[in-house]
Amino acid sequence: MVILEVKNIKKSFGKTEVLKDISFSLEKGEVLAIIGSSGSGKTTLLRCLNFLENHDSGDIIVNGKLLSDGGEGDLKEEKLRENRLHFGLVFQQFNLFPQYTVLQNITLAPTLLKKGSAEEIEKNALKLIDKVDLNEKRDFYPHELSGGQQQRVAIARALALDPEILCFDEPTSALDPELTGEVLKVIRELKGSDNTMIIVTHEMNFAKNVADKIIFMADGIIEEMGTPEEIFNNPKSEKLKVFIEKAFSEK
Amino acid sequence: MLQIFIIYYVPSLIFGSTIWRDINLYFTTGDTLSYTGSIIAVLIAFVINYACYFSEIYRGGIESISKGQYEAGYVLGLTKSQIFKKIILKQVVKRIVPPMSNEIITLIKDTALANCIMVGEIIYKANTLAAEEQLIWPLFFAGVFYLIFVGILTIVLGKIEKKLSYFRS
Ligand SMILES: Nc1ncnc2c1ncn2[C@@H]1O[C@H](COP(=O)(O)OP(=O)(O)O)[C@@H](O)[C@H]1O
Ligand SMILES: [Mg+2]
Repeated sequence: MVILEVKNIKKSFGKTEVLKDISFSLEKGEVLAIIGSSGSGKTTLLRCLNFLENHDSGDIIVNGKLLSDGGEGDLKEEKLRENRLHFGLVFQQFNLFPQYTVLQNITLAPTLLKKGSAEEIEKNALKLIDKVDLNEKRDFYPHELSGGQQQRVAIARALALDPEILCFDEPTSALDPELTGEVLKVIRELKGSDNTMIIVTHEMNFAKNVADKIIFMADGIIEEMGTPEEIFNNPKSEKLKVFIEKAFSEK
Repeated sequence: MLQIFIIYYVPSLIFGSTIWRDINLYFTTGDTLSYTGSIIAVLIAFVINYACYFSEIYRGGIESISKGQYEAGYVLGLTKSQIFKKIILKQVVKRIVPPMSNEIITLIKDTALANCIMVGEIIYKANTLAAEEQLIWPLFFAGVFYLIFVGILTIVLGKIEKKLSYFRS
């Protein structure tokens, strides 16, 4: 079942065209990895999907429902919020709320959005805390946690609203190398529980092992799209060949 | 002080009006001169001056919160007012309390400037008394009064600061 269809998305900042006609679709439960050198438009694409950025034209369709065709420019706040709830986003910089504990970070949005009784929300949050393996840290504040732990809280926070599609923007790039493993492990486990995910990452091995489908972006277009097999073992585009060569030689 | 002079003297320079003195005279009964007009002029100067300082502190505090905090709220489907009330506000308060403490204490000390247009604030009164009675005590007590006043405020603001020290942002 197709859960997400993106059709001909375009986005410019002033005169610079950052996304030039991006189209792809995603099945429910599928994991899509997006790779590409920095500046190729990966973050902008995720921000458009999460309605943090207004794309200029093109359709975003979730479960067959057209959320936005970019045309109307600024959507009403109400509609924007409704659209955003289809997606979740985990930021590179975590962006946890510093004045709240781990548990409170996770329960804040469901509580404000009245997603159930206080007990239900807390019970669900505790389940998520267990899922990201932070049981001992539930009453800690963000500044008392390592980067890897903070990012796992951020993942639990996003999951608390049960988004149809969960997006990650380089979830491990702000982490020390020894902390990336624990975050990647959590993401990998989410795949098992049938979450649809879009992951922008520089971790090539992770992309190769976890993704069902990979998009290689270059200069605002999808330069190549395929299975990990096709992308890594049989790249067609010259740019992709160079990119892969470089990515693996840096390791 | 400059602001007080401007508020007090400029109207008369430009319009030839003597508004503050007129008010003084209007409230004067008998032979003790009233300073109501001067006091109003001083109040206006202080309010405008410190409103500027404080709004500048608030603005700086609000702008210093990273865009990521708002965006984290947006992607969780929160409204702008929920984001401000539940996420941003406390962080702003935490950031503005220290500069506000400084500014409030400066404000208290600045009240002494009012005597430049003959408004009888604490130091002015103490000075007059000291001169009349040939005593040093009135000035000393004025000092003690400042000390107590500033002390209380420092303690209160320190409490707020401490209360917000459980998180870092
Ligand atoms: N808000 C913005 N205003 C202007 N230019 C931007 C903005 N955001 C991104 N860009 C530009 O868009 C291009 C793509 O950026 P980005 O989507 O962050 O790429 P990536 O995530 O692949 O590194 C870059 O050239 C960047 O300078
Ligand atoms: Mg990026």
